[in-house]
Amino acid sequence: MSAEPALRISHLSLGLRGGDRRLLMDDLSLEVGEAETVCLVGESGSGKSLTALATMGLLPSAVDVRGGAISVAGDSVLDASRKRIRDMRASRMGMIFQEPMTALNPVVTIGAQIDEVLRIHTSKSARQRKGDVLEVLESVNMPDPRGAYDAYPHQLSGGQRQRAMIAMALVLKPRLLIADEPTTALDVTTQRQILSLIRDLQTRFRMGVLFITHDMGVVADIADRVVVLRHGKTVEQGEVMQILRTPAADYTRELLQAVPSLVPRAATTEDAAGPALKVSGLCKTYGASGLFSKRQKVVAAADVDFEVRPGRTLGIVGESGSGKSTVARCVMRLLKPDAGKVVVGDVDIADQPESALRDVRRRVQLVFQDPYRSLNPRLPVGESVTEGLTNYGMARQEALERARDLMQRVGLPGDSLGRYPHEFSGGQRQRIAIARALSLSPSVIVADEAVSALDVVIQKQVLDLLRDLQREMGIALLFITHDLRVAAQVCDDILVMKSGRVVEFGAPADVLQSPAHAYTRELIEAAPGRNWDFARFAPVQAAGALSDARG
Amino acid sequence: MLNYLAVRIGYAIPVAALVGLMIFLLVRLTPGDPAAILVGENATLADIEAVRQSLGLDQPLLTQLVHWVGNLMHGDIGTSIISQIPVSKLIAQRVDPSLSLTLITFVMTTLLAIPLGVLAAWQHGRFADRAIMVFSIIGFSVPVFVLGYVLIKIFAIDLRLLPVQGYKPITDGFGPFINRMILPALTLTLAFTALIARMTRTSMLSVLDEDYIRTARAKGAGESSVLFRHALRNAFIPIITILGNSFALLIGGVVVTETVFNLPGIGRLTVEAILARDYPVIQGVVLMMSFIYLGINLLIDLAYAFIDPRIRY
Repeated sequence: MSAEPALRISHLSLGLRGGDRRLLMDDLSLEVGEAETVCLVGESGSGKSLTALATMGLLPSAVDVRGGAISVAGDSVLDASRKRIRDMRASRMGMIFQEPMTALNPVVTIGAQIDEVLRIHTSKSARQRKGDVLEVLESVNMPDPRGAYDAYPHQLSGGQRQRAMIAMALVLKPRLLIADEPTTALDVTTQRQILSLIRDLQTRFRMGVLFITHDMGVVADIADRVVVLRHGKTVEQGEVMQILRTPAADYTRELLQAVPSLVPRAATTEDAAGPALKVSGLCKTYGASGLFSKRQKVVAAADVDFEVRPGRTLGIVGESGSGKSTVARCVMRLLKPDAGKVVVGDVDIADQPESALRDVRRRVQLVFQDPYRSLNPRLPVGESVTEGLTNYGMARQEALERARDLMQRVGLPGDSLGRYPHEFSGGQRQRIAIARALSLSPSVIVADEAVSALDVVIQKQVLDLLRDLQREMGIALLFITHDLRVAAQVCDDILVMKSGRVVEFGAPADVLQSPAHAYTRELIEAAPGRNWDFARFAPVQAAGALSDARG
Repeated sequence: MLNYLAVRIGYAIPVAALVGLMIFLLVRLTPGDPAAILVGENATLADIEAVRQSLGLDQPLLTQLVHWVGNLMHGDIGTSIISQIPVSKLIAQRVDPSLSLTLITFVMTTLLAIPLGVLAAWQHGRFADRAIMVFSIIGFSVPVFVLGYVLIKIFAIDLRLLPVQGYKPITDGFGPFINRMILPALTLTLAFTALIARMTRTSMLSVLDEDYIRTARAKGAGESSVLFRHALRNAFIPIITILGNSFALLIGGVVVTETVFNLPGIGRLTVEAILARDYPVIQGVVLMMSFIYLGINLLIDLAYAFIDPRIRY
């Protein structure tokens, strides 16, 4: 192997073309050595993805290179011809992306998509290529490689799709793998498998990995070195232990302290009031057989019981397919449960006809996951916030007055009402969504993955806001999440679901410290950075606990 | 796959029945009396009544409907009130020009519009894109009769390269046939290309933004492979929908073009029948058209399943 590092970026500056010619990346220098993992960490807009795209020669046309150099295994990228850069892609540097569903072509089989890499870059026969594809599918531990070869992306699970992406990036054994948030869209147990797979393949192929993430937990688990970026500037870089133990920059400290840890927050005293929401014996099954086809039945909720008192938070934790969102939808009565009771205040809404629900609906409000899609882009946010109020008969002027109040309560200027969603950042939009939910003075708020789309620092701010408002207004919060760490920080009780069933219920301290069910233990095991207490810049228990995660 | 096909055909049957019923009622609700037209200006009321009886038009609507459906079941679409020729024969006489024009236009449009749309999307915002869009707006906003006459003026009258109008079946030789087909086919092609190129561009633009296009580039795929292998196939569903509907539209709905170029096609047959209140002919033609629409939509649905594996049930 050559002495050149897998990736060397020196003094890279990127800027917006035309218009304000804003600088997006200012003088970035970093190196990724052979068999080394370097994590690029930063919030959205820090320039971490642009760095990856620049390295692949895939910068969007609106961005241009203002200076600096990038070389992959000694070969310059920025001044290579189009043909040369196409040749280098996949053979010198492979890339995997955040969302494996959208990153794979939906109408082409997995086998053909990997085969295409070989067809572009090699002159092997069809038979040799098929052998190579099956071999690489095997090496990423794809269950049933032959089946996967002929499968379309939608027929695979999220984790399998990401394995297929990795296989595609690695089929030519490139010197450098760029991984852009490759596990952010995955369940925590799948994330753990994919991380250890990347680690494993890296050692085997001795390739450099540039790993982009916003999750310090992931960093603690896989990084050798860390580069922290913010607004296109390098905040600091160094060995992972140095960054975690003795971060030099304030921003790095802030990032680390925002990481939700598995150490549960202090328990709060129980309120004497009766439950705002009481669910008992809730059942929901999908997929009754149709006229022409028989579909498999999926039990999304089986005999689910829980209650939430005013001012308290119940976390429903589970992976995709666990039924947690089904429960949320039944509570909202967006879905009609097959059996069971959903009592809001003193009304059982499970069996009410649609017409009778109108009055109850205002008492249960929802905050969605994705603030980019949950606000109508063509309406000023004031319209979105006041819509509920005017629907329930409040005069427009009065509704606007109340909306202005709410905006201030969620920490936004009162004059934001006339602006449109795209003028706000993700965190601000989620605040608007919260203001909208609060506008009808609900007794229950359902927050469905309400912070998972946000950066850690923003996430913490929004969670704090939600908690303050909830206390102040005595709202019962049903907090749906896949992230046990977040649940540990915000919930008074945690309910763990798997395949539609409740497998564990209790106070966070009990659930996390002495989990009764194997699945809960699995979730705790898989939580990234579980051995590191980020806020205290030290390992959670004894030193050396990290080693088992890094295999 | 067979299931999918069965379901689609299953849906088509009630639609066909409903369409048939609506045609039957619509024709009879239209003001005007075929008997009066048939007997002419100087006939007495008694004459009209006699003709009406002989045509069965004095019967209650329900009886007429039962009679019509009964005949349809035996494969009898009816006989023209005016010319006394069976409707099936009338249609057979007229289907040749329409089908020829449709096929030629369809092939030319597909070959022209899709590459233009792909090119426009690829060159988004640049000169080629703007030029194609300007052409598209012109092609779409100029009425076909204007375009038809302009083409006739240039190619037939001034340059004397082609005949002005008329139709010769292909059995009279390919030369005379195609000479008379070029101008009407070109007229329609320009109009439909404008529409389909635009559709292709829009669909391609949204697909080119997808993550898997970036993945394809990250593999080192060349631009043509990115455009045609990865993007176009994903962009094809809206394109194929509008292509199919254009086909159906061409077979039955190009009255103006047929009139301009004096082609004895289905479109003109329909208009003549409507003007004469020739109920059986109207019913027959519209019923045939509705079956063509259903058939084409069935083909479109099958094409969806072929293009996109997620649609295969």
